[in-house]
Amino acid sequence: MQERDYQNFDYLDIIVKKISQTEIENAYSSFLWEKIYNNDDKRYKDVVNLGFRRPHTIKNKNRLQLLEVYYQCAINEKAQLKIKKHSKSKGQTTRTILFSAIFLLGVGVFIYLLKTLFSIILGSLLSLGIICGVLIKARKIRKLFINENSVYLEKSNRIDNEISKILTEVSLLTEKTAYNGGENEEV
Amino acid sequence: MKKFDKPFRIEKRVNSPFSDIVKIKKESNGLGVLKAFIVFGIIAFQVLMFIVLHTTFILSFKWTALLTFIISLITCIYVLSSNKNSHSKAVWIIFLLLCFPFSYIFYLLSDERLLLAKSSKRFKTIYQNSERYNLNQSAKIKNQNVINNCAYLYNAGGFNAYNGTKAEYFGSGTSFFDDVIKRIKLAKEFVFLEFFIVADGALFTRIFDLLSEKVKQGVDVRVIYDDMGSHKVLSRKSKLALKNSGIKIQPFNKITPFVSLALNYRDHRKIIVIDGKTAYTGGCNLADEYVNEKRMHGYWKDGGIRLDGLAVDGFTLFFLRQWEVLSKQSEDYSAFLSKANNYQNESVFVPFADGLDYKNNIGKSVYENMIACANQKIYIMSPYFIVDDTLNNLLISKAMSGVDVRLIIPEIPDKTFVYGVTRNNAEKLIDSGVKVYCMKKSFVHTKLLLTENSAVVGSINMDLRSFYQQFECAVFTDDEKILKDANLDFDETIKESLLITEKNKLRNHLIYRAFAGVMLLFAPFM
Repeated sequence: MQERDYQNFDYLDIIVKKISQTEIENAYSSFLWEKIYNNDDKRYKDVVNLGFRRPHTIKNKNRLQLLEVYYQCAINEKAQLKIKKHSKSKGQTTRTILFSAIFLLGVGVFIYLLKTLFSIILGSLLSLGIICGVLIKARKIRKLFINENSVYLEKSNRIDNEISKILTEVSLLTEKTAYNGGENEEV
Repeated sequence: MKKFDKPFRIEKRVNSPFSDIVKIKKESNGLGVLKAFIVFGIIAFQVLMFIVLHTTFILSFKWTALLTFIISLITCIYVLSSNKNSHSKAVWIIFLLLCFPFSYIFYLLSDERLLLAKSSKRFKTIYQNSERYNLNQSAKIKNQNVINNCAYLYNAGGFNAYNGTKAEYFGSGTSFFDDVIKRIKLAKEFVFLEFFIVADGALFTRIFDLLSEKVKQGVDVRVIYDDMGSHKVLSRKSKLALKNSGIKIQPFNKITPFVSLALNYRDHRKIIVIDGKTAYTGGCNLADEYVNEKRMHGYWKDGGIRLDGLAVDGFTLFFLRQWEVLSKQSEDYSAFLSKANNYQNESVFVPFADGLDYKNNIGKSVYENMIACANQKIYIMSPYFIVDDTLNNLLISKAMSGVDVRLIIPEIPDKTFVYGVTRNNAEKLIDSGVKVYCMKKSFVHTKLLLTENSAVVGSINMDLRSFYQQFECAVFTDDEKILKDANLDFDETIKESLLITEKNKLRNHLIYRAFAGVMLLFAPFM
């Protein structure tokens, strides 16, 4: 890595998911960061190490630093949202399948052990009950799934609007700075 | 010997375990962390061995159990007579009675009147010897409340009120240090720096390169850093580089691997003095996170103040006294004083400090006096809010009297347990009409108290550590420009903050309240 000129430049080293690399690079360039390196990570195959620099003295630096934090938090929040999109419905589905399987197994064992007409009738009724319960639950889970989709869409749109506002404000704050061999304009 | 290539090397790279799209790379100082681990491990081992041996002794000679209980009771009475705040007294008494076989020994080892008697005496001797340099300034003061505060500061610590000073307020660490660097470039005689944290990184490189150039030009450069604050982040290599470049450095209260509650007393001051003409103080330490070039806890919000003029002598004196204590070398301070221009400004500036050289808890008292005198507004920015009943009740009664009381704390904590107590204490004030804000996605490190006619900017947190255990400094002022800029900074910060209401209080959750309640036991040490 080149020796860093801390007198004239600020530096930033980040780890980025490859799938979002272009989006992040574009966003950071709007914050006046210039990419200086791009390396594959030694440990993880789905991320890349990016290095940036920008002139130490830039206009509206405090506000840009704050907006950069907001941007990073929003991007990561969106990723978290995607991962947790159907967490509730998935959890309920898993629990329903697990418990119904355990109950059905229990009913089967009950019938097998007793081997009487009474146990067969009772066992059948219980199994029917469990199956009806599962069907009712499945309907509720489907409604939850649809609801989760709409909640995700709403939150995702909110975050997208937030990101859009941040980047709009950034573009208003920043002037196009030409990088001419590291010379720095005092603003 | 040649290394053999492995042509069929299988890459064992896996998918990353984290879900974040963007992560800031954090460098860790492995050696620093290891050193801290070893030192505190040794101390913990000593404590454990002491407890085991002492308890074994008592179990062997059962009559000593009664004796130690009696000694603990006597120590409880001693605690009640001490100058500690009521919260600390309560915590110590609980500890003394619950752990009576050995607790009294820990208390006696921590008591300032016993443990720090020698250091206290040294500080006070140096303070008294330097009094001849502290000529009484007859400043013109217009506002009666300001007169009262200035009188308190003079009587409590001999802090002069100065006119003839102009000042600049900084609402971020970035702008603060950019200004510092500009002024250091103009230094001709001396540069003094005193920080709680001096850390390797971009900011350190910028300032160190400049300072080493200045040393070559014959400028006297001195740096005081707190050993506890800096031990993990300032490498041995950097310390050697500082020394080799001719910069004089002194660590404050070096960490040693021996049990001593004196380790709890830290130098939390942030002072920069340049040629006796310019001084800076505030919340910023010399580390990258303070200028947002290293991301630790979201956006780092910080602040500071620059003084040009007669009031600079106040900070020069604080630094020189501390230097004399640490270096054990006396010198003539007059070479460093009375250097500044007298600016035609009738505003009052009172640089003040707190520490072992002063009898009273000056920082706390200044805050209390300002809050008590406020009639229109009380604006506070602080990373922590762990105060005792006096300050708490003052804020409550002011809010209920119609004074606009606002408190800005961080949303992102640097220490989870401390934040738990801070948030709990702050939320308790909401019922009384105090408006509590959390700055979004940020860690607020600014220490600012603002009323309608005065402000304090400095290193003093709103917590018991700053009030009772740390060396601190700040400046009290009624300057209209500073009040206006600080107000603007406060208002801008509120725009980026979330108002805590009854609905979004963390105290609504029982588990959180229980956790905060338990943490209160350790509040005096936070």
